[in-house]
Amino acid sequence: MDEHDAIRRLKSGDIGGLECLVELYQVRAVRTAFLVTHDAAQAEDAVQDAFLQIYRSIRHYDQDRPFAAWFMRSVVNAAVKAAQKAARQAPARSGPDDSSLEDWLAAGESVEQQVESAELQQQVWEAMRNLSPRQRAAIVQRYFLDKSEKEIAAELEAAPGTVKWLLHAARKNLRALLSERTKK
Amino acid sequence: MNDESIRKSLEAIARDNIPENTTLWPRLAARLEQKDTSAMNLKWKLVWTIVLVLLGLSVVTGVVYAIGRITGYLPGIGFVQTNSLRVLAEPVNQTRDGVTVTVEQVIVDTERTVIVYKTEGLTIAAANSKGEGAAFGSAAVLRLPDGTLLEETPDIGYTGTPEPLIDNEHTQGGWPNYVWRLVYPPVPAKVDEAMLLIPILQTMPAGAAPENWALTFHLKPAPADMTLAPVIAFTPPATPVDVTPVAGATAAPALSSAAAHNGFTLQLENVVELADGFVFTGSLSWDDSVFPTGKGRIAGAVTPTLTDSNNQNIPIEEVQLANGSYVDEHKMAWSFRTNRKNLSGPLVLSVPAVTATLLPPEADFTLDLGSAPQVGQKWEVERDFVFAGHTIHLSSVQLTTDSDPCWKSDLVFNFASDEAGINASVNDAVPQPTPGQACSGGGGGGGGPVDPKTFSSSTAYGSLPAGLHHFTVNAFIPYLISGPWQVTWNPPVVEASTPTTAPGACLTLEKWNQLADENDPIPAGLRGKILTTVNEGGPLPAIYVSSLDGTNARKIDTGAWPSLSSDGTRLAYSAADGLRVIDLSTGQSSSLGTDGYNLIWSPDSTQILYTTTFNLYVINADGTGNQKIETGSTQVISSVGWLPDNQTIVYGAMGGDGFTYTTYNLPSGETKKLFSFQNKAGYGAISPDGQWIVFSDKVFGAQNWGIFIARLDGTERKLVADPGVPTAFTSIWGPGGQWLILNTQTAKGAQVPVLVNPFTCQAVRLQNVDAKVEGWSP
Repeated sequence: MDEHDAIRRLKSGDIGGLECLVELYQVRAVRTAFLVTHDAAQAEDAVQDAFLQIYRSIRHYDQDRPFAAWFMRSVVNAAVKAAQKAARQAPARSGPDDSSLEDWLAAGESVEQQVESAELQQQVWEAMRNLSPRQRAAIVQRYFLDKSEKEIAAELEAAPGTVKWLLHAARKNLRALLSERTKK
Repeated sequence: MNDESIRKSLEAIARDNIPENTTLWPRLAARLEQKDTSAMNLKWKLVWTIVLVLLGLSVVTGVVYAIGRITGYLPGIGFVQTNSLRVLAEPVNQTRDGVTVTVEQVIVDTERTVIVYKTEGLTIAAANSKGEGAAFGSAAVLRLPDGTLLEETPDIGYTGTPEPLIDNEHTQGGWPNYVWRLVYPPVPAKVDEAMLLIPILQTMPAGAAPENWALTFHLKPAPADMTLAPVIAFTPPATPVDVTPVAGATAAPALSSAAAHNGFTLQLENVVELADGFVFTGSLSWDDSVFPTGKGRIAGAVTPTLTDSNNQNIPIEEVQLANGSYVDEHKMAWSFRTNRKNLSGPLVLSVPAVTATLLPPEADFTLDLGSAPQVGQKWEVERDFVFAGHTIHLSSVQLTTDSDPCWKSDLVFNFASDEAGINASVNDAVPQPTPGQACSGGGGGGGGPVDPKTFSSSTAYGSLPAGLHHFTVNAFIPYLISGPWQVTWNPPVVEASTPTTAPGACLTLEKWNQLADENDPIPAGLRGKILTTVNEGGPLPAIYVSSLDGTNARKIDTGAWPSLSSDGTRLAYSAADGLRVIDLSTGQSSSLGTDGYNLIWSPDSTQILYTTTFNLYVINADGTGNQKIETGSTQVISSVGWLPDNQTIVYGAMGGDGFTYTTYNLPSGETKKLFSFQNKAGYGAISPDGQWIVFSDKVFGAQNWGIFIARLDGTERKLVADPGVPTAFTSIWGPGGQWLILNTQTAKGAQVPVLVNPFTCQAVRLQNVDAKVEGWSP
């Protein structure tokens, strides 16, 4: 059974269709949610919520639209919601801080070689941790889900601002870093 | 650091923390089970309540009441009983802060209360104002004058009868505005007033729009002249006759609303006669004996065909059912509709076959990998497994490296089956320990893209597996249960003109397939420059300009939404840093200082029309004079084209179930609505002479969109490409306005642009162009 069949079955009320979609998307979805929530249990809960949402709303889904994009957006939304809820329950912090991400982006000349290293991953992880869930979601959409800036900008048109700016700033810094490296 | 580095880092973090063998289904299924059980309990409570009330009434009055006797149907509402029917005395609305909520319809019969309300004035900005993660809407309740609160009832159809939903929920005026149907228990007969309480509107997060709506409405007896669609009910026979089709039989089957064959029973339960067609509802039921292995699943929904007395196929579309299609694990409900009534009976609704997947019991085997296996090592197993009478042959097992750094190696199991489509997965009963805490085993899927009878399955390990391993094999066997199952019905004679067959399309699927084998040259006189885009793996497609025959191709840049100026000298496109215009002769590129999509040059090549999804703009080609067009719409706006006067633009505005083409005169601001169509993107293209528009639109009964041309007012509409042809939304007019280029695509994703003359229906494949065509200029 392929994705199309699965959706058709789910639309007709067959829960087997949902099981197939879960098989197809669960790993990618939980990994995406994890990058936003930074918590595996929260990520799994968020993805379960997203699947339940799909189960409830599949009859409104237009089968001519790409399912993956629709579903992964739902996953990101659920993950942001879960992370925001967790943040409210956690001790208050001084608010989202983009500086560590800026530091990470500006960190350096040798990062290209370090990309596979645990150290760099740790830096990325720490930088991500200090972003707000929404900002994390934007980074995940851009770099993990391979959405273009245009796609993200279009999605956020009604709420422009932080994320779009952050992505532009990140790209600018990246270009500068690559340029410096090329000169060397 | 580049984008790839960031991507790799995030991939690695995600892989290290979330293993490949993550399995959500058991917990998810449990949550669904909980939900279904809860819903089922509510269903049974409701059914028992009705039964007990009716029993009570019968004791008191000595009258036996008919349970759930359906006597009519109302689009937007559903089934109703005319007995004691009450309706909304008059529509009720409230407006607060620019948002209006209107109770449009209320129907109360002895079974339930159905309320339909709509919203106006809600904006996308409000819907998104609380972020993407915000929760939307809240349950609405009905309050009776004595304070009793009625809550929505579970969506169980009409007292358990599968209920087709037509025009029930839609986005009137475009999302986030909507029309909504609510179902409650019946308002008691002596109560003629109720209040609908909506804490938060369905598409709004908390705090984004006016809340706590309270709309009081009144009921009155249904007027005597109220029109209900008649419902014809068919009683299932106690024992359906097993009808075994006779090969080559030409005589029409005997009229019957039920057909049993090969363990399945097809039952026609209701026919609703609407003003513009018939709605058929029924069921398909079976027992486990249909699966030779005793366990399996029905793989597809019921997909019947409808034919008339001349064996002509009649287009039908599936209709959503209130309570979904699965009545229980051995019964599926279905509903389909026609879009006309002048049909020549008897009609035959036929299900040709049912597809299922057999799930045979798993098999197991052991394999000794030895004490020090090496990557690349192969074990020739040559072992057969028999599942449901099919032989699956495991030829070999090979140890390979895993591209995922979380895993050290994979065991790849290579299979061959005796029938295409069979698949299997292999799992190691005891996965070896892995280096990362998150990487604790792996198992896997199958597939075989080259030969449909061969496939492989792999199991991942955190280290090199060694020694004796125990594996289990689960097979998935496609299984087709042959029909047909046919039910028949004789429609009433409708006084109408003789049914007319829709004129054929210029480009049918058959014709399109033929073009693949033809090498017809480009028709004489056709020439010019075309603009194409190719996905070369980057974030934005590559833009090429070439001759119409594909020669002289020149890569210009990467970007989206490229548009050639009418004189063919300049290219406008959406680059990574925004809109740009490039002079094709000098290569000089300039930024327009803004960003957007769907760029279209004016006929005199001085201005560019573009959209930013919700807003429409016109900008001079030198980047000056960026002008926002006041369309009055808060919904998606698509730029479509220009009229030859260089002063009138055409755009598509989302609303209702589709888009409406509208003209806008730039000097005067005057707008004029042209016609509406159902095309999810709102695209279209205006012919150079401004006389025709090419667009994609929904075709009743088809899964895809057809490509049409029409005059700007929607008249003289003609189907250019049949919905069976895999076309893109966008089509391109040639400079002379006589030819189109339709962008079509093979199942494997290859672009196949086709030249079509929509007036003569001549069609030629653009042989040497394997890209998406975005423009064509002299």
